[in-house]
Amino acid sequence: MSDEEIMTLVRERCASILKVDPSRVTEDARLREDLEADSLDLAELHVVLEEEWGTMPREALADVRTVGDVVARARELVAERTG
Amino acid sequence: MSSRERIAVTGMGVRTPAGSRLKELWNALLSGQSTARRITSFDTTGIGTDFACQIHDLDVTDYLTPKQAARMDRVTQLGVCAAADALGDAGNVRVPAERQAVVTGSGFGGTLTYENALLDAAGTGRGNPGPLHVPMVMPNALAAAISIRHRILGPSLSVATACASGAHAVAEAARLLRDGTADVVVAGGAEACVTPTVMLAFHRCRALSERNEAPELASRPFDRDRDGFVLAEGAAFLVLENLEHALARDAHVYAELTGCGLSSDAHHITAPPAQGDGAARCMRAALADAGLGPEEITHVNAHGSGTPLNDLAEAQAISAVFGPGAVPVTSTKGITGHAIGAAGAIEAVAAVLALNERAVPPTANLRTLDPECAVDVVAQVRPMAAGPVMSNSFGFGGHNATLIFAPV
Repeated sequence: MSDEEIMTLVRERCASILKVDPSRVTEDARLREDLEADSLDLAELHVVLEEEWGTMPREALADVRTVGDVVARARELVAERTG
Repeated sequence: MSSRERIAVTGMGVRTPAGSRLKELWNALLSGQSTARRITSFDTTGIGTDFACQIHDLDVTDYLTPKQAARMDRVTQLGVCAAADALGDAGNVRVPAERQAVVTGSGFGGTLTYENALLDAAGTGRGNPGPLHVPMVMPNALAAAISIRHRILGPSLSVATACASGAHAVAEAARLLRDGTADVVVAGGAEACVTPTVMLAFHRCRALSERNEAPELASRPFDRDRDGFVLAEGAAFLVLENLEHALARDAHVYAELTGCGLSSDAHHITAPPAQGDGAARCMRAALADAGLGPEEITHVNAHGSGTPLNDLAEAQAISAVFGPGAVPVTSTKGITGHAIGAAGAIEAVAAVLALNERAVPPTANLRTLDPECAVDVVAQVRPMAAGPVMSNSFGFGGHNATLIFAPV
């Protein structure tokens, strides 16, 4: 999966969970402050990413701040799983 | 009568297959036309009954953001809309948030969410719940949603007494008002259990009508040819408050809640006892609570589910309490179907509307009164005198609740 595909998938999932317009889900958008994500949203994001790439550690998304942070975490995950 | 607190109904809101506005519901009740239709929202193959009374035009956009809606099961969405309408109808209650309360009733809770989570992973030995599963399926989700949305800071709780839940919620609200715990309570019920599994489950316990060839004729309470109830969804809420307070703030008072009767059959998990003993005790308890004699009741909104056993037992109980054919009886379920935990609240609203409009709505599909039922079941709209009306609700488990509303 290419970096661009990962980026697209993460943005789509974020927009769908957070119920915001996809145009707002930019790499530097802050999940909590800009997109009004709360702990349940991050839990949902965790589950949909697991559905895509397999089980992640419980704290995998514990310190993500921006959409870009999630993308970076997803890229690491994909690299681990395929590398 | 003691000098206990008097309770006013100052707001009402509904979401039913027969309408989402009070006027729309009332007109539908007067029409006597059943809202039962073939189910198109899922495949009914093999279920045995392929029709229900559903709400086809639920639009929550004026009430909930997309994200709020995504975090609520359909049952909560229905209830939130009805409760918001009831509170809007009541106007500014001018009571501190700490003195406001909410009581909700539901027989099932978040059935669609629960069922989807399980079916989504059929064969794995467990479901596939999302992180929102628990807050969406819990039976108190609606009470929480209403409390959060309207910032109600007093007690918020849910009751579950199957098909009597909505009526028990109203009775609990009366208790909170009478004992001084709250000054305003929004109370009611909601249900959204028209799902493949719940349909099949009710069918297998032989509760549902199987009149698949003519769904609109299937819900026929007290009719000789009834063969079970028609499953429905819906919600209804009432705003209850101290009568003097309501009058002082110039609120529109629909009625006074003067009596609540509660009883248990202590007999069988689904079947009523012979002669409807529990139902009769419940109605008598409500009359005693209201300080009324049976001859003072102008109209009984029966539980009237349309199952052979319920209607017979209820008719025997009504006959025992009031005398044979002594009071006009109607069942709203002929038109709305049976919305389980919402039914008692929907019918409380129907009874209050009847009291205000001074008319008893007809019982849909009553062609031939069951000769075993010695009650005066209303088949055509009938004018009635201004006076107290009674609404009965009886649930699986033998939980009974009767409410009495009177003109102010």
